[in-house]
Amino acid sequence: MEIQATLAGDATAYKRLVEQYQQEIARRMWRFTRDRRQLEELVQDVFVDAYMSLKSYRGTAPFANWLNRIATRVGYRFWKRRRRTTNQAVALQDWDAFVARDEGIVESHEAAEFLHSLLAQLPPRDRLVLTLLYLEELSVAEAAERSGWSQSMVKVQAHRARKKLKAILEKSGKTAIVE
Amino acid sequence: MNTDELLTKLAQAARGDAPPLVDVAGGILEAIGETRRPSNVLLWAFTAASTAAAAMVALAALFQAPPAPTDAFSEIMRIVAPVI
Repeated sequence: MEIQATLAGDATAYKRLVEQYQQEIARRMWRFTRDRRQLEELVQDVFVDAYMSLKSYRGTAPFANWLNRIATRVGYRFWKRRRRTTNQAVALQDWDAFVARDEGIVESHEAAEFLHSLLAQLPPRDRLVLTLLYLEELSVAEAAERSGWSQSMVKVQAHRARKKLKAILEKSGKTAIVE
Repeated sequence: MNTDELLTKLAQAARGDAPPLVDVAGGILEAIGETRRPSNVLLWAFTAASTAAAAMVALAALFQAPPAPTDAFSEIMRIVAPVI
């Protein structure tokens, strides 16, 4: 209803739509940046892009899915514009114990920070595929739909990305990888 | 542990991580307006520049001195003189 009203020219309807979905989109964009100011900018960018292309929303899939695709595109674009960080992996305390044990001895935000800084050392394409498959916990089909890539491309990209990540970890002395 | 298992384990540990609260709804209409404005400015700037250029060409043509009258013989001599 808010979508139809927005397309009919009701600006406040779109504001209500943003209020409804902004925190969910913030969760998506939190994968792309850990900086609060950048997070808000990215969330805003998503909704600006969505507004500009609202006429293309057919209504065949949930609005949230459509919005998530835009969010992925905005985040990917953000990474491509930024220079890749290198050698800035955040130290993970009790790394060996974490790897060896199943108990959650690592705080969720600490694990997220570490994973974020680790993935930041990959090229945007590799980073995106691993973010979608592991952080977003999407299937290959879902990751393909979210990114606009084919399923075979997702699989190939994921394989390459894991190989690169393994090399990065071994170079930084994290020798828990035995593959 | 292979890379896939490691990533799965890290991602599971990171599951509870949540972003701070954001509120962009208040400024979204202004942001949309800001995004639209630059393309209109460029369009107007291009149109103004093109119009000005066309006006200058027209004015220059208007005030250009008419060519000196010539007859056909003089024109032919002007062309062949260097050869002769």
